[in-house]
Amino acid sequence: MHGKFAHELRAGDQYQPLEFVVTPDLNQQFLYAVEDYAPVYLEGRNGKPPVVHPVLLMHMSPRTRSPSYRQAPDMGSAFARDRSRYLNPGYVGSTFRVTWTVTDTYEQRGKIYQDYVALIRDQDGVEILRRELSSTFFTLGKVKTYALGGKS
Amino acid sequence: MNAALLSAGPGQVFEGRARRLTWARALALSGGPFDAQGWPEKNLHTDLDAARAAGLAEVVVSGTQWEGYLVGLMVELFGMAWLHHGQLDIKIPRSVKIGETIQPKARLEAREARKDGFQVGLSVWCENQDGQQVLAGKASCLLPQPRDPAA
Repeated sequence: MHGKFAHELRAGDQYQPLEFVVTPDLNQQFLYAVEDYAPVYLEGRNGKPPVVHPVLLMHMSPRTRSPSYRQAPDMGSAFARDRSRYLNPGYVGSTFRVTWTVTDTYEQRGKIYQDYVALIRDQDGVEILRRELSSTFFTLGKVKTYALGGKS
Repeated sequence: MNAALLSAGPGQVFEGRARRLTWARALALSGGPFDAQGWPEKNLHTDLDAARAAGLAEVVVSGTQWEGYLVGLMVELFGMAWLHHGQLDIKIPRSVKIGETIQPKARLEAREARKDGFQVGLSVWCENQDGQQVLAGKASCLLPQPRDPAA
């Protein structure tokens, strides 16, 4: 999907996947960010490493993380809705792969909306987190927005 | 698992800890890995110029930050069951600025006995220091039957 702006993608199109490794340092950075130091995120249990805090996986799952995400000049985007399903714990030390598939792009009340599914799997193919996300696109300066889903 | 969830009646509210959103916490979430060259990454959640380029008057905190507070509360309530069976459906009606204090909350709406455990439904929200909702939605999770230790 290189070359297309995000709002030009249609149902069935995919953003380029992203792979990332969660190190103990990265996990603990996100624990600091949300001030959550529950032992499950710091200590392994039953022979398994610590659990990755869900906020880290949430942070990596908006389409703006995709290497192929391109926002058109003078356009912004804003988060509209999130339906998340937690399927399995992710563990520190694992490599995760995020895929993004557009399920719908449509116009409503003068704004372009895009629905997509973000799916995170670990290196064994185990599904960890599935998010159905909706975002809007708008022309900068024309629509008041909270712009929570911008390129970041 | 929080046993209170199984003994609570409909309408009971569970509260997570209120947290003040500081620059340091926002940079930790939105600035990229601490050891990345040029940290922090400049974006609309970390840099005023980047925020203005995106059409915003000021930096806004990423909604993931306080959605993370809420999901942390879900893990406190449901334990590891949340990471296998948790479902969340939310919207973010307001933005949050640096310096605001946010608290996640959940109200028990339904608890249905099933063959394999209890399906629990909650209303969930996060509110700021003025009591305004900055996230609102629903959560549900299957709490599996506790294993019989004698079995």
